[in-house]
Amino acid sequence: MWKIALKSTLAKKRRLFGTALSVMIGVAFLAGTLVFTDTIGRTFDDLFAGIYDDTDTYVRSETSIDLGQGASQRGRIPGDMVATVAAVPGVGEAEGLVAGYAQIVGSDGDALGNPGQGAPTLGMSHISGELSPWQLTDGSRAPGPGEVVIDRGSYQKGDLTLGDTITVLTQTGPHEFTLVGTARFGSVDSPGGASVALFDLPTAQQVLLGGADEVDAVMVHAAPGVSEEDVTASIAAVLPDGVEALTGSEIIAETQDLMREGLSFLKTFLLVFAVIALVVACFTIYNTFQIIVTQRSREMALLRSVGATRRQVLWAQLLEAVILGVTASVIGLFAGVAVAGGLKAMMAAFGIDIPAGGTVFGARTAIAAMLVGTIVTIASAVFPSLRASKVPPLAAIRDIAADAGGGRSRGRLIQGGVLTLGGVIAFVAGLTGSGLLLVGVGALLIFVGVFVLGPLIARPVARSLGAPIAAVGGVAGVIARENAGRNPKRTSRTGGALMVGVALVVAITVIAATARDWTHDVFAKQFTGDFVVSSSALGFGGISPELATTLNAMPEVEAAAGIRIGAARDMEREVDVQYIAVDPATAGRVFDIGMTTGSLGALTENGILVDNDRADARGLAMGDTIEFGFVNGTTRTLTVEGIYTKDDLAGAYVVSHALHEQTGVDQFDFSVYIATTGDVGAASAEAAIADATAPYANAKLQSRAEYIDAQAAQIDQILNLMYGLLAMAVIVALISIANSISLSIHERTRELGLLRAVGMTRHQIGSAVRWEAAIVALLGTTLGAALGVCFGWALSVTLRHEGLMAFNIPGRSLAVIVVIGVLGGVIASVRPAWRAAHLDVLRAIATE
Amino acid sequence: MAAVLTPAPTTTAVAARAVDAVKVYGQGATEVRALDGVTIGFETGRLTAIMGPSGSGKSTLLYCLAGLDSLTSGTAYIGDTNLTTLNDKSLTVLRRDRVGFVFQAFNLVPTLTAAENITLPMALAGKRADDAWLQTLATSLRIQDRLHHRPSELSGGQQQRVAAARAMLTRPVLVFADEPTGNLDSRAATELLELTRAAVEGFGQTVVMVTHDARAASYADRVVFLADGRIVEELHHPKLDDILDQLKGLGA
Ligand SMILES: Nc1ncnc2c1ncn2[C@@H]1O[C@H](COP(=O)(O)OP(=O)(O)O)[C@@H](O)[C@H]1O
Ligand SMILES: [Mg+2]
Repeated sequence: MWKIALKSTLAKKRRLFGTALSVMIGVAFLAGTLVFTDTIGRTFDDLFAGIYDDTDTYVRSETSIDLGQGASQRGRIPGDMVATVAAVPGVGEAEGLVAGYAQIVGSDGDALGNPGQGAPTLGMSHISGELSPWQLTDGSRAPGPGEVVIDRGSYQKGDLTLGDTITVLTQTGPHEFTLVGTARFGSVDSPGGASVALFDLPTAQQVLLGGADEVDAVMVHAAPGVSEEDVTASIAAVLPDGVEALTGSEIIAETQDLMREGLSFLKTFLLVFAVIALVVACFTIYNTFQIIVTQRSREMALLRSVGATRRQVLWAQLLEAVILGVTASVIGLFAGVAVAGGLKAMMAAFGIDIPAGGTVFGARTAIAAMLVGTIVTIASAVFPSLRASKVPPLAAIRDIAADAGGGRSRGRLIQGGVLTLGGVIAFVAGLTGSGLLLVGVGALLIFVGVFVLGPLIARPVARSLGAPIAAVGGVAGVIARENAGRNPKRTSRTGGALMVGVALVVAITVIAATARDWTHDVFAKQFTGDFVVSSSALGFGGISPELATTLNAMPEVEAAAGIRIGAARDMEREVDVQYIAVDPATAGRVFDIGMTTGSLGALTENGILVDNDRADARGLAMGDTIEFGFVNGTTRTLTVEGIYTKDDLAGAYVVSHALHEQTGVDQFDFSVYIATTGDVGAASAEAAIADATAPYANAKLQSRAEYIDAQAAQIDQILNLMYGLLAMAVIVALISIANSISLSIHERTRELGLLRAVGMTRHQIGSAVRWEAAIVALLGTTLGAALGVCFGWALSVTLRHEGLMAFNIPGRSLAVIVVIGVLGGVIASVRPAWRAAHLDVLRAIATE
Repeated sequence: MAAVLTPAPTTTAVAARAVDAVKVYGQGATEVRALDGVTIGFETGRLTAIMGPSGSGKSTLLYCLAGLDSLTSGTAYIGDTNLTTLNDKSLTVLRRDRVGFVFQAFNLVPTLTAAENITLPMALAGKRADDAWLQTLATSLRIQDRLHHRPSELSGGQQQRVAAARAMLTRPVLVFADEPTGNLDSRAATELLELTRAAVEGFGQTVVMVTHDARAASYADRVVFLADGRIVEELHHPKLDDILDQLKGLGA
């Protein structure tokens, strides 16, 4: 029996190839994601291990605030801690480390790096001796006052020359330095893709911190013969409250863990798409096995009538799935390495350039890919195999046309209905309860439910969708329409895979369009100024507050409001929250954030504005107080001085610059919003503002309209990335069409032979096959688009209380998606169509 | 020898002919000479039967004459058209416009109605079927009330008659039938044969029919016997007994 099963599997290699391909793509995506993220992880692990290589003790502030997504913000410690630590017995070397935002300007005047999306752009104090994480290259020397050393990567990218005067942008504005050297980090030119500018400690404190005598950390190298535990314990004993000492191993482990946490978001994000591709692959495999089982029912009935047991037939069928699953998974696993490279390139194309060194191919990746690929294949083949085993021996003698039924049954209606309903419930429950996994499960159930219900509507839908095709396609069109409608189960299963892919594409398209509209509306309503100077930085670095000061002093400018982002600990609820910091004097003149009570312009240093949602949830009213803790260890009691309508633009809390400046963090405006006086023409105002902005190479001046469009366009960038990732699932779905059409053609060999005999030309045969694929694809895309709009609508309703008030069905995008889906179906059928057209007529009609 | 056995053309024109037709399948040890120098012509307006033992080359001869298969050597003509010079496209168009087919089984496209099946070659050519002619054929083949049914709703005999109607709808030069009664019970077979005979007489349709069945062959104007890819005998207006005798001689 095994032999028979094996033989029959091998005999159908060609037909199984398509199925294997869908598993392969899914597995390759999964393996690729794992390889990619493991590689990034390893790169950073090595980097951090290298940086803290000779560090035995790391002294820093105890206070940190979580910014989410693996990022955190930590306070600084007094500069005299360096001397304190150096005096501890057992300390060999002690160096103060200062680090902050610094962006190097290249020879062409453009700022290097993109800290908003890629690696950070760092400024640091130069550390020499054993502790130095970097090595100065030949011809370089350590920076003195007015001098800078930069990483070798930026040196090359910026096309700079030693001895040049270069510009570096920091918290305190643009500064000029003489470039006296370049540095490398172990074997790499720039650490993890980051740019680094090195200054001597006083200069670093001056330009990075704005003159405060503070350091981020003291790095310690123990005296010979002293262990890191011992020296760390000795140092810890002399530290004041709020300052802590970690061993070298601890700081390495901590930075690595933090990086992993940040990485896990990326990993989850990518894995979601890999899982989607695998789900679509399941649909494809299921469909292919159903068709194969149907076509083989005679063969299996024959086996049954000569004495094979049901179980033997079942196992023979499953064996095929095992062979297929294992083979496809192995190939997919290795293809995953290529996919990892592709993912990196794709992320880079969308501006997220993540450094990844030598490819890391872990045992875990291999095991996960093999298991998932094989299990997915077998699980998808179980139902068809069970059906195969139920073929009565009599089917060998009687010509039982299995699978050709209309699929109209009450059972199907009930099953499909229950699944869909369950899916809707899970989906809605997930959305309202913020259980993302539940949303996924709900969506999956809905897909399966519609998949089960599909045959009930496939025939009429295929007929009506095919009607125009029959009208334009002549006989080929009529034949295509009839073929698409002749086996509703198969047609709907085939279209089903595409339905899943298209539904997801449409859902994100709808959400993106909605978000775009919303962005437009909110900015248009709330930003009343004329120009915006924005930076790409978000959360790290940004524009020096100097720019806003300069702008406010100009006669053309009525108000220039720099907006800052900060984080604090909500002492009452013990969670870390983010806030927006504004200068009330200027912000009140360029923004209308929809205050219900109080006013933006009247916000004081000890005041806070809260959105109505948060105010309701916490029962806050005007005059109530909130306690916030900051990274420098201070705690402030803030009075509610106003409540505004929630819309996400201003976030949950708004405080004043005056307060933010006392929290011990670097001060950066991520954007400056400008209202002009209107005394001079818009053009001359713009020219004046442009002049003032010019030295800030990381800042971009845009008119109000340009800025609003650019904000909305940012959504497109994410949308395109998601399209790229969903493309895998769509390709798998198209393989389903190719597979199914090619199996159908195999089944209709005689019919095709007959058509050829009575005068159908090759061209006509080919076009009938392509039209059929078009109808099936149209069925899948139409259903998918309908589902996708529903999903998008449901999502937008949930986001409504996050402030997203719009809902937009982008008709043109939907039309484009449907057309692409149908074209994809047609392209997928090109090969089967060619084979159908080049069928040996005689053999076809001679086949018994 | 084959040439000797073929009568000189009579007053009637020749609808199709083969000259020194040789068809070899396979190579070397597995080589099969399915046709081994066949020269034959089929007169217009006649029903010709081709008989012979299984594997004697009957179907091969039919397919090569109909442009479904190509000869290894020799020539085949439909009317004056030399098939060996045509490419696939021209052969397809020739089959569509000038030749009709009835196979043993599976003659109809299951998704199309009887009427759509009958008019299929016309539709493929992008032409409108002659409705009056369709009705005439349907009536004479007694399927006029079955035209809107799908093949699965027709009996075997009806299916074959629909196929016959399709074969004749384009007024082809000739109709080839490969064991058209092979899958029918004797009543349905008789009906089909009688209707075919009537079509030959009534419409002057040329028909070439391969058959195993001596009774079927007895409807023919002429019966040609094949053995091992050669024409070994032919009878004109034979009686059933003559055919049976001849078959016995061939050991079929
Ligand atoms: N495609 C083919 N390949 C190889 N041999 C073939 C092929 N078709 C027919 N033959 C052989 O050619 C001979 C004649 O076949 P055929 O014309 O079908 O015989 P008949 O119709 O008289 O039974 C047989 O020996 C058959 O095995
Ligand atoms: Mg034959």
